[in-house]
Amino acid sequence: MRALLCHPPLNASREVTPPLGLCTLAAWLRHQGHEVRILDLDLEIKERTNEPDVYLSLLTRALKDYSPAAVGITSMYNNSLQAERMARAVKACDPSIVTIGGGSHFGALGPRALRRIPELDYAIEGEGEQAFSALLAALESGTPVSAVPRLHHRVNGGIHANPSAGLMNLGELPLIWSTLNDSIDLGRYARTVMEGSPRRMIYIEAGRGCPFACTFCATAPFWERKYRVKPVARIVDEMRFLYEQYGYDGFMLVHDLLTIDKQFLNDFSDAMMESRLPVEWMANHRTDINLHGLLPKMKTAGCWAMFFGVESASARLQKEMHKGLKREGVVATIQELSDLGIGSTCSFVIGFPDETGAELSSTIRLGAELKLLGAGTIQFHRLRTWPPAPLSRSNVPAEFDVDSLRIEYPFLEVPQADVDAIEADPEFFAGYFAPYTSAGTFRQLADAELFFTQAVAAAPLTIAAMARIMDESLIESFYTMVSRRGAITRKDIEADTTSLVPIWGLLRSFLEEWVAGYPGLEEWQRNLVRGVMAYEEQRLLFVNGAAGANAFLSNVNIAAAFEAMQTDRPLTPELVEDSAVVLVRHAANSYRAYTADVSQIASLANHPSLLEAP
Amino acid sequence: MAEVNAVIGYLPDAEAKKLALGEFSGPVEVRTDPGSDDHHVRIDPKDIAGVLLGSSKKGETGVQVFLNDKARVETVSRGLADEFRLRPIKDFLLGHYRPPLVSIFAPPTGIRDLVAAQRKELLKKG
Repeated sequence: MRALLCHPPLNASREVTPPLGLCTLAAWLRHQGHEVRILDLDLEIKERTNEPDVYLSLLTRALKDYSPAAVGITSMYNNSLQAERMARAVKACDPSIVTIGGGSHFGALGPRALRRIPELDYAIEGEGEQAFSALLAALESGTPVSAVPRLHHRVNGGIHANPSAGLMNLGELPLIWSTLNDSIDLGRYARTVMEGSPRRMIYIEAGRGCPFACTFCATAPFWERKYRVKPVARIVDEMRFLYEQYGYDGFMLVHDLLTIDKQFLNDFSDAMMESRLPVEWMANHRTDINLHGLLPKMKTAGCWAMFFGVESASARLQKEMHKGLKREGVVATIQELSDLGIGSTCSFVIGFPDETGAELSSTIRLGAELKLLGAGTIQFHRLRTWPPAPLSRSNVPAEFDVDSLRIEYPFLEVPQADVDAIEADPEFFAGYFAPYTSAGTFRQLADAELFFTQAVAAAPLTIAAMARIMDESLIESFYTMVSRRGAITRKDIEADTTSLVPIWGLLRSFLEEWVAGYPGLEEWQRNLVRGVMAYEEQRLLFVNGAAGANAFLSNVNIAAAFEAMQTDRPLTPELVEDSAVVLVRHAANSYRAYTADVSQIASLANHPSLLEAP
Repeated sequence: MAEVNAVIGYLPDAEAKKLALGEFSGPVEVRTDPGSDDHHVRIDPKDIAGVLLGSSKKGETGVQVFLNDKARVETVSRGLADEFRLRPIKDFLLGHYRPPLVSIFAPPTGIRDLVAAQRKELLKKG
């Protein structure tokens, strides 16, 4: 049977990576003997004018060109409205085409999707490969669809859900990328990677399923919390194909939690070393899984970073959300990775229903401190309750929150029609209805999410110092500051995203006013925060400039300030003492900071290395 | 599981290959950062139990250098830092400051087998 698989548009970034779920499905369907093409509207609209509904005319044209008997549409919550409109457009173009919905949204809320969208004929719940191929086979042979697993379909005016037939053995999947042939033009994606990118990145699937039961997580229940991995040789072959054919050399190994199986990691690392592929990879990990003794091998095998959901610094919230991470374990893991030169991204969730301001303050502090220990990126995200996350079924009081919708549309205005449609259907678009929280109003949390993500990226020492000094009142003090001088907005941040320097201009004036106006600071504390802020500004300008080195005087003992933060020692007035700081560029993207005796500053400043750009 | 000390880092491709084939003489200087030899770990070849190679990128190969018991290594910095005896500030936003040694779970016999297999493969490739 001929099927068109559609990826609705949303991603506004210049680089586009192939839609992993659809590519896997397409390879599977081809393997089952079907004819398949992928229409990725994210890719298509990149090359055209940015008219709001251009994707629908592109879809119509594809339907006429390809004449599919069935159209599959994936939906990821943030593009579900577009998916819905696409189902309508398919039926308007040719009512005989069968429309099938899946993906994380329609696949989690199948019956509701069918009730909401009359033009959608079927919805597949959860894992889609076997169900989709069984459905195509049934449609082709004219046999009833009642035996198709996981299928939601209309029967006598009602909606019937067929039972699941279990999860598939991922070893049964064919090689994905090398078997897609004319289903997709991978070269077009490779050409969107910008010249000079440090890595040519692509997502590939390593496996599915996380056995943990965090209350806010929609992905673990979607894959039924069963850990599965693809065969090691298959993953390495896929990496080799993408590297050799398209030059991809940075692989995001997609798996909810890859690192549970140490034997798999060991075998995969051996296979990567043996392959000699000059590529790197990253994966999801948990800070309570001990990989000591295996990490150095992973590093040599190309592991450049790991992603962690840390979520909160509060032990109470960790227990409540069934995550159970301990602060000391988080710190030790990030430190160990940092020692090995493996990067990390740490994600925090803010705005749990009964989260207090003090707990949110400690979470921000932990984020800043992890950055100081070597974490590459710290993210703060507001809590969303997407089905089938356990929290989405708990009926916590919630209200439509346009800010959490806007965050899904970076760099774009959210059309009012979309806002209205989403606001009108709280059950279908639950994630845009934020739970009330004791940690702040929706507006305040949106401001905190934006500000601290940027501030921790640019000036973690400053934020960590302020968090230490202000302690539990950090967030209250931030809200007071915002109410006095206004917040930094998403529009401000997005005006120039080429580097942190323009953003720093906004952050600095905010921070300066905050420090000047906070009533509880002693003079040495104010001087300490100002001193570390000045150092962080010098560092930012140095890294973004062309000089080979820079030497300057600081009113703070910067080396001691870092040490106090990294070893959890108290901040004391003795830290406010003059020190010489030297920033040196060793190679492209390789820098070091040093301290020297204050008396050396004159000779350092006249050194040829400091006078000439490299 | 048995644990051995190792140095992980980068070597120019030719040096890495020679080292893996046991043809390297003189102290081995493993770079801690790719693309820069300003910081490295110096190892006496007699302290090396085996070397496994990773991939090569931009003329440098990732290496795991397994050490014998009681091996000693030396960390070396070059350039301005050395000239002025500057003391490092542990600002990880600029770069990583790694301890020279790491522990790897690997039985010594397993290392010997892997090193031998690798040597065979390298010789075969010429």
